Amino acid sequence: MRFLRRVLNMLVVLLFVSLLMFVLVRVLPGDPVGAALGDGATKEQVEKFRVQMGMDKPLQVQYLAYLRGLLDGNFGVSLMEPRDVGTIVRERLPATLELVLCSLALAIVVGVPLGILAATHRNGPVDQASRLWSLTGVSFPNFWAALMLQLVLGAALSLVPITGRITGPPPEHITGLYLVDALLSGNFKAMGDAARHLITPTIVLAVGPLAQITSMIRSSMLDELAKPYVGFSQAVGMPRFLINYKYVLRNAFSSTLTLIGFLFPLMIGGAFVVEKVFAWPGVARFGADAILANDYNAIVGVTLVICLFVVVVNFVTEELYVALDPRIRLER
Amino acid sequence: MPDSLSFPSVSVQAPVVRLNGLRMDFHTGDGVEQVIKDVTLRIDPGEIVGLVGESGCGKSVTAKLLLGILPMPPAVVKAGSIEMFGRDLAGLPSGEREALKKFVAYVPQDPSAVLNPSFTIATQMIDMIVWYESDRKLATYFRKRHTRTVVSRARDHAAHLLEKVYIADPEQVLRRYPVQLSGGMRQRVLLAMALSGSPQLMIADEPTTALDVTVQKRTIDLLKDLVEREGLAGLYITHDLGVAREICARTYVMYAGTTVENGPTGPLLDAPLHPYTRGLVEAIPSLEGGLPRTIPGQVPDYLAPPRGCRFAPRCPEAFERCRETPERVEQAPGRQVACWLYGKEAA
Ligand SMILES: Nc1ncnc2c1ncn2[C@@H]1O[C@H](COP(=O)(O)OP(=O)(O)OP(=O)(O)O)[C@@H](O)[C@H]1O
Ligand SMILES: [Mg+2]
Repeated sequence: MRFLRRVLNMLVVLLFVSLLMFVLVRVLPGDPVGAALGDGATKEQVEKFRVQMGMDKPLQVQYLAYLRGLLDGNFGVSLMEPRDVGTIVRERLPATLELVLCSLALAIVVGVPLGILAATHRNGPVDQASRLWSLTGVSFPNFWAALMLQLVLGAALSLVPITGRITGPPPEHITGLYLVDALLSGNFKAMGDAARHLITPTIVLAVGPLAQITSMIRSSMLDELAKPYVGFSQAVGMPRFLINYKYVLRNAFSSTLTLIGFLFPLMIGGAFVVEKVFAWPGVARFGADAILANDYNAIVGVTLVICLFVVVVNFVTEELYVALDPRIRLER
Repeated sequence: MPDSLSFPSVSVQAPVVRLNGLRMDFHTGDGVEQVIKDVTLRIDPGEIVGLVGESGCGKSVTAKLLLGILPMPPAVVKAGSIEMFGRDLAGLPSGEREALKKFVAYVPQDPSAVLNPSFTIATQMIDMIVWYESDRKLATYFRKRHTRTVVSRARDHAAHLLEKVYIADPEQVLRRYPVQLSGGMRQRVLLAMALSGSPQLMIADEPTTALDVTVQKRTIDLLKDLVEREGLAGLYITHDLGVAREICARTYVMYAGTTVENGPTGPLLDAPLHPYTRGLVEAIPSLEGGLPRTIPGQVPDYLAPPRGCRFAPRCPEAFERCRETPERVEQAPGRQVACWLYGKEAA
């Protein structure tokens, strides 16, 4: 029942976003037709194109037609490449997911232990460094970090490729995530190739979230460490290790989980810049190009798909949070 | 637990606790807080000792010191000695200090806050029981904690402990999370946990203030019963002189970091010697409720405490002499007081 209500909620959110975006792209200034046909187009050509795209009809009629199309899995034709936006997004989604997931994993794998160390060794060197890092890391401009890494690791040291997702032939398509596909098909050459391409964009995209996770884990660990149950466990002689890693971390992590739910949309936002700078063939770059080209259907389509992901990720993290915290679970 | 009951270095005859002339400062951002000035206190085996005094007198600091949870720094021991189970804590390596905790049962003030909200009672009790059996070695602990027979034996032991505090359906309680239990039930669970080591001493810091009145009464009865049955010594911290009279054989009165008077509880409360004790006794309200109200003034600022007797600024009987610190004198058998009104030189 609760689940059903959640799903309904998500649908309403998506519907609202689609309406908002649909109207916004059309009322904001910009001429998609001119951009699509080029400067030399005649008046007749433009008119014909507008009729073809349904742009001559009233807005509400257009929107209803768009929704009906969505039901058939039809996102409308992109102006940049004359194919269905849904198809393009489906092709490009794995590239973005691979990048975002790798960054998120990096941020968690490095950020969580760093946060723990900072909290348990308060005011120690790790704590000082991580606090400085939290301050600077969050406000670090992505594009600058990207250019620096490209310059140093890519151009000067030639350790990693400067742009792109893979140099050689991609691995056999299974999931679309190159690392996973390469692993599944045992194609280690492609795997190394893909991994080398992933390194720099992953680092760049992880900088901000890493700093946020570190400071979140640190502060919620510190909050937890001040709670009476910690003093009690110490008083009865329980070992520090168990207190920190079994009791405190468990409680600190559940509040960090919500943060990860928040970070996901932020990272997709970051991906718009990162994919553009690294010529990464993902949805975010397609979205960025779509905005520049005023490609109505592409903008709305990309937004909807990203929105769907964000909503689902939030749903999952919230469920996990509930599963981890019996106080909430039991109130149900 | 069978093999862990005997600990060679815990003496049974010596006083369980002996604090002598303890002085302790806190180094805080604002400066040095001279909180504990002279705490002298003894607890003999099998005896419950009360510790009373206004809020902010340093009762909890004393309890935390004995429990080994006073963060040092900021706390610094300046003078005096601390002995537990006949061993001087000053020279004790931290491992041995930790090992002593098994013999100390802690009954905290707020039963709701000290249980971990994310784990069931069973998990928390089993963790404790298995840890006490693991000889303070993490590797041993983890091995045992994942051995089914050990865990199920520990669970049975936990159920047995819950029965000791008169919980009718231990299995049911073990499966619960702390939020699912009432305040009184949580306090009982804590009492059961307190027994899971091999306690010799129970330290209770206002164990009933967070409970409502009817539950308070029952918890106090249970505590008393438990201490008698298990033959524990106890330090019972309270604001409530009535409760002290009921369960404490002897009582210490503490003011601003000094144990100003002590003696058998009845005589102490019936005929207080120290003006501060008198103030406390006179402040007992006739109806329910409340802290002492009638002693004018308040506990001093520990950053700049008064010289000499710290109670002097609030004392109706203060005189010149009180600028110096009074000696503690034995006024009657087992009855000591630190006040210039008493002793050989008293006028
Ligand atoms: N960690 C600490 N750092 C600095 N000062 C402290 C610390 N712990 C206690 N104090 C100081 O010691 C004084 C005594 O505190 P304590 O908690 O022992 O009072 P109490 O007698 O238990 O009072 P109550 O009846 O309200 O519990 C307080 O003034 C407090 O500021
Ligand atoms: Mg206290």
